[in-house]
Amino acid sequence: MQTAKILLKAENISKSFAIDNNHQFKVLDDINLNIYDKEIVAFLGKSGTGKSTFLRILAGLMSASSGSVTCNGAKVTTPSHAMSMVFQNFALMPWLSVFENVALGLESSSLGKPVIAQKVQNMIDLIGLSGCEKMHPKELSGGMKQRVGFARALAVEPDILLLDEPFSALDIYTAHKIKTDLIELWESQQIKTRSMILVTHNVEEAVMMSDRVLIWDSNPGRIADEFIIDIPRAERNKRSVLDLVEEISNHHHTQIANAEDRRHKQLNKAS
Amino acid sequence: MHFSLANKLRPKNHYHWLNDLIFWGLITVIAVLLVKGWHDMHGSFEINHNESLTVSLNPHLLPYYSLRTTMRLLLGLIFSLLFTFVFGVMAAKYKAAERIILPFVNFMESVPLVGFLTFTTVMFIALFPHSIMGLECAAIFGVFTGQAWNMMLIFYQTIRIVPVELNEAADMFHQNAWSKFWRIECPYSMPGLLWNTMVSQSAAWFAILATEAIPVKTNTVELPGVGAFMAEALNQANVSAVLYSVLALILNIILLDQLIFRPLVRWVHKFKYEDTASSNQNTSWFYSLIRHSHSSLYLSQGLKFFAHAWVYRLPKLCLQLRLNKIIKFSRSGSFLVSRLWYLLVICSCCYYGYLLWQFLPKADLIKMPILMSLTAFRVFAAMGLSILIFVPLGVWIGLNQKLVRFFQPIIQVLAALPANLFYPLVAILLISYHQSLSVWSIFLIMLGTQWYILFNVVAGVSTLPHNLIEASRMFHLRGTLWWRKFMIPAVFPYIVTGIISAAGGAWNAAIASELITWGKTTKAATGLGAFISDTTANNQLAEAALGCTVMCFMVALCIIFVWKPLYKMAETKYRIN
Ligand SMILES: Nc1ncnc2c1ncn2[C@@H]1O[C@H](COP(=O)(O)OP(=O)(O)OP(=O)(O)O)[C@@H](O)[C@H]1O
Ligand SMILES: [Mg+2]
Repeated sequence: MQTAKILLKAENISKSFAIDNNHQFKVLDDINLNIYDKEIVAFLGKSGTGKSTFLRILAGLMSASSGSVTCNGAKVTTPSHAMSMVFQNFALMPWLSVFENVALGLESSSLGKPVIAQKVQNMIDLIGLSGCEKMHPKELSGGMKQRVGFARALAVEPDILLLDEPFSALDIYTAHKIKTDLIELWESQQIKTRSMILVTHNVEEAVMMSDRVLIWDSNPGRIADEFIIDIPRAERNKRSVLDLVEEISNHHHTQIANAEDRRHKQLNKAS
Repeated sequence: MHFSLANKLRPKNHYHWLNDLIFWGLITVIAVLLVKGWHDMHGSFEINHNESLTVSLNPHLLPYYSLRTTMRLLLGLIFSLLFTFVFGVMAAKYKAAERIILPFVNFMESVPLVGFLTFTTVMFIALFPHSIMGLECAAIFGVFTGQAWNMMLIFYQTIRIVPVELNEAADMFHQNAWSKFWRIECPYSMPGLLWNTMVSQSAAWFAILATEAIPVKTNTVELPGVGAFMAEALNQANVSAVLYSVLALILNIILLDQLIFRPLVRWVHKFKYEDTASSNQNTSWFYSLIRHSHSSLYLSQGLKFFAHAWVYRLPKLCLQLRLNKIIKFSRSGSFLVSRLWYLLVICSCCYYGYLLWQFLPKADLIKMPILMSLTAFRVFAAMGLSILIFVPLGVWIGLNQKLVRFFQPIIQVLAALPANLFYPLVAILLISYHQSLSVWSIFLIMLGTQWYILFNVVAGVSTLPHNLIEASRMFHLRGTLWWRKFMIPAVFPYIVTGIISAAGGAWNAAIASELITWGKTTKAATGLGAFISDTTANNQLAEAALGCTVMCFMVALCIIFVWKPLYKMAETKYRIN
């Protein structure tokens, strides 16, 4: 794994938000991360640990307070063309049809209209949205909406796909279906995406999909632990990953308990 | 017990006796001023003896005139609130009332009041024949028409969209309709209502300025007030007096903003259902002064006690007096009552329509279409220009939280300045440079409409879901693509709301801006507004009535064929949920 090419490199990322004029709230503290070619990395952590914030910094949507992000050797300061994102609550433009929503990212490229139409149609078929091209997001179910979200993100053929809890607004069956479809497309290289980052609260989901699970700790947010999932994807199923899921869950829970402890101590000291 | 708890939550040094001192000092001064104003409003005045009333152009009197004007404004506001609550609730709860109230209010919202001045004045003078109160009422009614419709509509709309889960929660805890209204519907609609009231302030000021100098019969009567001062200054072509009155008005608006609206905005913030990060920034020195005074603790306890009695004791009292029987009865007969009600409305409309038709001079009817289209053209041109200029500006401001924080208070004050405040200044310029009013009146109308659009677009952009902005950046939308696929559709509903709430003001401005006087010189632009102003000034009531009727007709056409379809589109296609 370590010999593989590094696609995305984050160095010493810190981020603070201003609460008011004299107070800063540190959300991320000195985070280093490499994303290698052909891997899926999962972020697992309690709510509020700054996973989404970090993802947005990687994407170039937000600037870090300090540190740098490099993608394919180029510094990321604005949203990079090599990355694309799927949002937790879809973020589809309500006034555009499914087709137009998927075409959104391509239209800003220099491609001609027929080429765009062709690519969009291909992606819609691939993601299983055929027949819905003319519909508007309002008329779709949550699962279908998120399929549009995936189609839109994949249509621009990104090297890296950023997924911010894309399945948490969906029921488990729909989520499972989309997940298997996505992994299948990725493994068979029908989509050009090389690596993915997946933010999730669901340990099983993380283990089933990823090659590495990074556990986040809070206050301030940082990556505390790493678990390598070395079961080949083809052999993963509920039973085979059970032990690993158990182990990670336990670890995660103790860590959350510890963090709570620390927070209480801090509070007591403060008052 | 409660007291000690509050003390525990806040450090003691948060409260300061100095704050109490300032607070009660201010309250006393305000109370004394209000009593004085109220007393002077009841002076005797015999309209039939051709008594005339003029204001003097002495700038030392301006503070007093401001007080009188403010009295009218506050009374108008109180009546508007009453109307809002009574009719807003009726329209929201009773279908039969809704069917009549809504179209009526929608229509009234766009009808320009300035056209009707003579008629409303005659009516109120008949009500109070021996007192100046009749004229005062005409001015107060002007303020009322400037804001009541807008406020009622927003109240009605927000009551109806109270989130289902809130209602369900209330039902789970066995709240009755009365407590549900005060605990849920009313607080929920407060931010919107306050916002709308603030936006309507310019219309209220517009009305005050227009109504304080009213032509009654053949002579003009001037109520003591800033508006009358300004009108008199224009008549006498006194530049310094005009500037003084403008200054007094601006100071007055800022004072009201600081003492009433700012604290309210800060207070109402706690009723916001979904709080966005941006809305947290409202600050008000007056609010924090009250908040950090010892009196506030007692006051808030008193208020809580009163609120509890109002929400829970009162219904019990009514129940004991069997007042609920009345409501039950009116509900049970609703079918018959509503049919009768419709019949009554239709019959009276027909009857009065016939009377009106008899009264109107038919000879002038043929030149109406031309006048109508000229005025309408000016209104639409002004709207178009406002959109072209102020939508990009609003988007630029709205996308940057720092700019929003900086500009919002400024825009709020600017928006409260009525457009006719600038007419004297523009009149001076136009007359000294010999420009044509036909073109420039478009800009005069814009002075009123632009703020509504800017206001709404800024609000719309700054409440846009953050996700969508991120998506638009993630997928590299830029330039025209960004406008076409993202920003224009996203702010479209807000532009439409802005236009619709600006419409009433725009017609008003169109009427008022087609005829400007400066001393002995008059500038007129051909149009319906000039026709109405001319005929009312010459006391040709029948012609004036024709002008007003035609104007109403035009406004109705505009509502049905332009605003409503636009609104439908904004509601269905472009809504973000
Ligand atoms: N724009 C902002 N201004 C101030 N604080 C912010 C801002 N965005 C995020 N935060 C804070 O940063 C912290 C991390 O937020 P973030 O959304 O990254 O958490 P998360 O790990 O994604 O949580 P979740 O799992 O619930 O999505 C939170 O405490 C949040 O309050
Ligand atoms: Mg998150």
